[in-house]
Amino acid sequence: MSEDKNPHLIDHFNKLRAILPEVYRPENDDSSPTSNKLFSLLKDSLGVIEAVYLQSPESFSSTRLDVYSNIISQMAEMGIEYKGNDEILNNAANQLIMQAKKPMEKAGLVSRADLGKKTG
Amino acid sequence: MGKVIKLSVHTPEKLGLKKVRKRKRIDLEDFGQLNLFSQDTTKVLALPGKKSFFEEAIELDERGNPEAERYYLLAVENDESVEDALCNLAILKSSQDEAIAAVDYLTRCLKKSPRHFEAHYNLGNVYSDLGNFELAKVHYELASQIAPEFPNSFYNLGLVLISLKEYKRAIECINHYVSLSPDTDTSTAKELINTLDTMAQ
Repeated sequence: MSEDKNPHLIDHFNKLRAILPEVYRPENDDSSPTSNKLFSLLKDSLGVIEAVYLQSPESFSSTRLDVYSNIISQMAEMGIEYKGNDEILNNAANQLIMQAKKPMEKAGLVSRADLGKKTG
Repeated sequence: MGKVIKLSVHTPEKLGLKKVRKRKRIDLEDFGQLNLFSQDTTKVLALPGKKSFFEEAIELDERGNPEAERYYLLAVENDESVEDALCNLAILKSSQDEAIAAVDYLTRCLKKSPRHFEAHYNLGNVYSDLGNFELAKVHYELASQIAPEFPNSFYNLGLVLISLKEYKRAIECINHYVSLSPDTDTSTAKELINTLDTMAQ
């Protein structure tokens, strides 16, 4: 039974909220000092990652690109607005596209005439 | 009465096992004779049974046996299908995340045979893994020119062109892949074309 539909329970829940605010805080309430602090730390950390990328893009392995883009997308899912670095996100997207590519071809297995039949 | 003579008794020395000692080899050449058994310069060749080293390597490779690498190297050493062996060594290196070694083998293959189809196609794959889409594009294009009947070069070229934001050409390539693969499930490729059509507009 929903508390909103039962006037007797509203008062009860309001009292509980007053006694235990940390338990009855809405899920996406980012206004707590801890959340704000965590968000600030996350932004700083991402800023450091982006700075490292700008200094030496080649040091970013495909796994790191993937992890970075996952963080940004999870932040978006959580309703946290963070634009992210376009170049890193673009590289991560390209990498994702190329994961769908057809595999390498062994030499010496088939004649050239059979190549048309080979696909995977 | 006879005289008893006392003989001294010596315990005989026990003849036990004898260790074999390495004898000092006589150098026949010191006596003016040519030594036919000198092993300093003799090259010992491992003989492949009925199959060549390359055929053996291919079989091992197909079974996922890591010995395949050794046999490919033996094939190269013994001048058997060198280009193909180098190309397949590159695939093994790429699967071991050794992209540089893979590029090295593939370029050695192309040095011997500049129009080696698989080498160009596989270089396209290695360069796209490394994020160098321009080079990947060049090698996929060459592969598609050398073997225009092979569909996968066009598919991978299409993906690289998406990354390079050349959407119109990407659509053409993936459409061509679909037309070359009538018996294959091309639903993913068709879905990709639909998405690209929207992006290209």
